[in-house]
Parts: sequence; structure tokens; C-alpha cells
Amino acid sequence: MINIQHLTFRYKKQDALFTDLSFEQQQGSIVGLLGKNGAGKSTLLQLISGLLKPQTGDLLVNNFKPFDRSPNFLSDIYMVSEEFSFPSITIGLYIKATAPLYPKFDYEKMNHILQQFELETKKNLNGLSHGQRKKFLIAFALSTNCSLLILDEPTNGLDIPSKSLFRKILVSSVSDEQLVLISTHQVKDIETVIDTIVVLDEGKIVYNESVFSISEQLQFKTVASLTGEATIYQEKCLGGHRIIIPANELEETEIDIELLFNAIINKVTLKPENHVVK
Amino acid sequence: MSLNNYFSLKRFSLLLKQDLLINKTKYILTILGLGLVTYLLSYWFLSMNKWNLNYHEGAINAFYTVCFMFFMIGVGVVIGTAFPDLNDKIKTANYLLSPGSTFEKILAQFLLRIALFIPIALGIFWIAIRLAKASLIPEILNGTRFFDPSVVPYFEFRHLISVGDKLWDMWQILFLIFGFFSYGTYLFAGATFFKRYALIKTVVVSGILFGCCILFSMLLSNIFYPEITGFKLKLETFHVTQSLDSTKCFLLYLSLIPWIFFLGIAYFKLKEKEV
Repeated sequence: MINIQHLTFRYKKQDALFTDLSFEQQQGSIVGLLGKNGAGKSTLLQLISGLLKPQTGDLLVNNFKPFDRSPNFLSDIYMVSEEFSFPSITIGLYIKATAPLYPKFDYEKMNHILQQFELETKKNLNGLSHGQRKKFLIAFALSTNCSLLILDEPTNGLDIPSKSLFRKILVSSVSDEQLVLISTHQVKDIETVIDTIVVLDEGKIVYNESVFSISEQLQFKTVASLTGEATIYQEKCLGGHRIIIPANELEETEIDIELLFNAIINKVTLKPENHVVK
Repeated sequence: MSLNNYFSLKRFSLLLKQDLLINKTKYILTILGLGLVTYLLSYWFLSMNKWNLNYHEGAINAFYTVCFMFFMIGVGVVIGTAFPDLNDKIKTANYLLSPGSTFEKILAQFLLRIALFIPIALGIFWIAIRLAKASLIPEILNGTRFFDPSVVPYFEFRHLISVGDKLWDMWQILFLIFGFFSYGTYLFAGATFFKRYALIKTVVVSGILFGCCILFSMLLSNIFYPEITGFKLKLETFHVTQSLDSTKCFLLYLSLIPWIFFLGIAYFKLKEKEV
């Protein structure tokens, strides 16, 4: 699905953002792309979607070079940007005008998601709040049934019930033939939906692991004191410490993505060695 | 590489339909606005020149030509604001990712802004200026002379390409038509070249280029013709054919050919566009 080999990218008059970046991802996953501010998450998504041209290296998505912007490639990917803009028309007219461009568009799914998000087709898009417009965009993206869905900060601007609804709809809408790439800072919003965690730091993919595999190898706990625990990484919190310890066969814990992310960014070696993508 | 990667009639019609559905109100208002402004300005302009219209034979051609020139500026604005989504980074991303080939996107804008729009605009001009002429009312000018609007001929497009009753030479007519077309495609290409204020920048650049050409010609005149001094220009003219000399031939080529390059530039600029 996505195959990036030795990619280099730099913005004009700036140092290289990516040097020798390699990354592979197959369909059938919801991937959380995490990274600090300025790590290049949005840039990577723009490269994958064909909005930017890499200087060197190979980048293939669905066997297409994204920057060629072949119509068959474009009709099979959909990107929900962090910032977006709509023409001043009704939801219904936007769907009527734009949906036919996506051959796999599912009108029933669209109506169903719109109902769940409490959006009416006769409402003007520019008369909606930012959060409502975001919900419409997410609904449209999911209804296109594109093989690759790119969601850049999808939960920004959504209220708490909508975030929960977004997770529910996302999980129920995505099929095994699709790959969803979600870039976000708000890891709590997506920790229950993603099945792969990818961390981008200093222009490289420093971590790429499935949630299942992480659960097999690590445990995440909050303890009152550190005595007796073989901690891999720890952070102080109210009433004790949040810790990462090696997994044991007796117990499986929920992944604390925030703690895991901090451990990765602080260059803690998370055993086994193959966690670190070289 | 299959043709489908460049053009599919179905996909193109969907892209065109999408544009028309989303922007139909804007397009209708633009055409109506252009017609109304043309009518009002033409009426005002003809009213201000009633004396000349009645008492100077052939003046009507010049007045209609002035009205047409101003109208074509309006047409140029519409053409120069093609690819409106490229003004803004967010809209640019949406536009570039909409499922269609670069060729189809160029063709859709070319159709909407030039191929379909110009015939409609010319029709609007024809109606508006004839209405303006029809709105002129008889009156006594300066208390002595009678202004009779029925003497003023209704606008016909031949007024733009004739002196009195005599049509211009063929090269002049071709120069005018293709000159407008080439400048239109230049404005069209400018919309893909510049991100913000594309129309203004494109017009300014054309002014700078024109100025540079004149200055360069002056420089060459000063170098090759020692008798020429200061800001003077000398062109050595020779006959290319019986009816065309080298200067006319150059002007003709200058209007006939550039649109091919400008459309090519528009295509490749859009193809290589990044956010």
C-alpha cells in the first residue's frame, strides 16, 4: 500500500526534513502517526498524498507515484486536512457535485453517518460551526471508501461526544481493504481505535509497531512507588509513577500511548531491539 | 501510459459538472454584472458624446471600439481569475487532490473561462451596447442642434474592424482576434504561475516585459544605427510578401503563436504545483 524507500525531502531554503526515510505499511490497519511539533507529520502526509514532491528516493502508494497525481490514484485516496475550506453551498449539493468523482462512494453510508453526527443535508456548509464542518468532512471521507484515508488531526475542533462518536464511526466504517493514517497530537482521542503506532522524530520513523505486538512486550502501569519494579521508563504523576515495564504472561494492560510516546522521544530503548526501525 | 491517465470523457464531464454545480450562482452573477456594467458605462459614454455621434461621420466606430476595449478588460479579469482555488493553500490542496488529470483540470477551466465564456461575453456585449444605444433619447443640444438617436447605427461587430465602410486588412483582423486570444491565454497561464494576486502580478509582468522589449529595441537601434540618439527606435522594414512587410509579419506572429506556449506553461505549472 505505502512503500517509502530512502526518501529525502526539504523545503526551499531550509535544512532537509527527511533524509533517507523508509517506511512501509499495508492495508487493513488504522495507523496512528505521532510526533512532536515540527517533526514532519503533516509533510509526510502531504508527500504520501502527492501534494509535495520528494527530492530523492522512492515513494509508492497503491503502486502509483503520488506526485504524478494520476486520476486513478486520486480517486482512491482522501485526505482530511487539519485546516479546510468549503464553498458556500448546502451539504446536499456538495455531495451531489463531489461524490460522483469517487467511484466507490457509498451514499447510504454517508446518510447514516450524517444522521449520527446530526447534520442535515439542507444546511449550508459555511453556516456550520468548525466542529460540524469537520464532522461533515470526516463523514464524506469515510463514505468515499477510498483505499487510503489520511486524517490530519481529525479530532481537533470536535466536542467530547463527537470525539467518542468519531471513534465509533471510524471503527465501524473502515474495511480490511483500507488503510487509515491518522496524524494527531491528541493521542488520548485515538488510542482505542488505532492498531499500529508509528512515531516520527528528527526526520526518521523511530518506531513502527502494532498495538498487539506492544501489548505482548510491554506493560503500562501506575504505581505508588518504584521499588521492586524493573522499569523501562517512568514518569511522575499524581499519587505515584506511570511506568513501562516488560510484559509478563500473567497480565495484559492497556497501552498508555502518551507514556510510550514520551519514552520513544526520550530515546529509551524499548525491548526487544526490533522495535527501533533502523 | 494509457490515454485514461490524461483524459476520460466521463471523468471530465464529472469535473465540469462539479464546477458548474458549485459555482453556477457566481458564474450567472458575473455574466449579469458584466452586462449591466457594460450597459450603464456604454450609455453614459454615448450620452456624453451625442454631439460627435450626430455630427462626425465615422465617430461611432471609434466610440464602439472604446466601449469594446473596456469590456475586454472586464473579460480579461474573468479569464485572469481562472483557477480560483490556487489563491489559497487549503483550497489548492483540495483542488490538486480532486480526482481528475491535470489536462482535464486545465481543459475545464479553459472551457469555462475562455471557450464558453468569450462567446457568451460577446453576446452580452452585443445586447448591452445595443440596449445602451436604444436608450438614447432625442434632445436639443446646447439649445441649437437636434440630437437624433435614430441616425446613430446600432452596434455590429464589423464596427470594430472597419474604418467607415471599409473593413481592415486581413492581417489586422487576425492580429486583433489572436492578440486578444493570446493575451487571454497569458492571463490564464498567470493564474497558475502566481499564488496570490495572480491577475495583478500577471498584468504588471506583461507591462514590464513590454517595457523591456521597447528598451532593448532602443538599445539595438542606438547600436546599429549611429544616427539614432536617445530614446528613439528604428525598425528596418522589408517586404516578406506583397501585402506584408516584416513589421506587420512580426506583429502577426506575435499574436498568432504565443497562446500555444501559454497553454503549455499553464499545463506544466499546474502539473508541478505543490502546496
